[in-house]
Amino acid sequence: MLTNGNLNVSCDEAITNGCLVGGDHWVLVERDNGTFDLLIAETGLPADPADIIECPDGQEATTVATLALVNPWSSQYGLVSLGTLSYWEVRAEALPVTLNVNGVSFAMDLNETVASKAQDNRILDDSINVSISGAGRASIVSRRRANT
Amino acid sequence: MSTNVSFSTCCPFQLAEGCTTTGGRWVSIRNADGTISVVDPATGAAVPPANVLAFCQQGESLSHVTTVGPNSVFVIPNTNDLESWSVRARTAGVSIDVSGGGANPMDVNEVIESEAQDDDALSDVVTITTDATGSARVLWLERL
Repeated sequence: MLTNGNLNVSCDEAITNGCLVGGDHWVLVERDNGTFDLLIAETGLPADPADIIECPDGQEATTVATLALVNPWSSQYGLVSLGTLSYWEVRAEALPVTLNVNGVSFAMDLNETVASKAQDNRILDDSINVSISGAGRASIVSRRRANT
Repeated sequence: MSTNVSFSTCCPFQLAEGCTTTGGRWVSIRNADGTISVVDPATGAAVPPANVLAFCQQGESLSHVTTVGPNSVFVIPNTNDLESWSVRARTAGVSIDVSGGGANPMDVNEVIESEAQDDDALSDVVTITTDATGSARVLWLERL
């Protein structure tokens, strides 16, 4: 009797990969038998070729807010990094407006705009606080990198 | 008779990789049994799906702001990598010198600014000088 033992344990192999709509990744797997499968790298489920996209560096979401008097004395609007803040901008539309940037406070001038923008693929480690009182009003724009 | 070796003898292999919300990296692994795991490549610990980022950040930057009052000379610090800077003259009596190019008087509310491209840093030496009535707002961004 002859026993054939296949000692050539060749395994599946990831050939190449890329990105899918929604943030997952696709991977092209060559099976042991020479066939190919297109899978979702995060789940192992089959990927739809129609969902293949060019890999983005990420997505960003913009928030716009206007700070006006909410209570009779003062109002505040705070921004913290959360590991995603990539841009912020504060404009004093009506005085008084006080801006605090990482612990440094100053009274803004009328129509003054203070803004900061991180370079590509970087984020801001900033803590920003805008305070108004009386007739003060400020517009605030911020942008964050999205976790998708 | 033949003996077939099943895929269960195969080694796990990496499918994809990326960054996490905690500053680390993740890799997705196809295990020998066909299941998929997302793990920290440094520790092998499982990475929760909520910690998986679609992007890899390349670092953090910190904004600084100061108000330059009358009769002052202020040089924007450039000890760490300087990403950008912006100077606004709040009043008359403000001049700016960039890297020894000479003092340039600024108009009221004039803004002069510069920003490095991509991963570059600025080598600028920016000096703001005010006279007895001058005031300027200075913002700069440094890499951490």
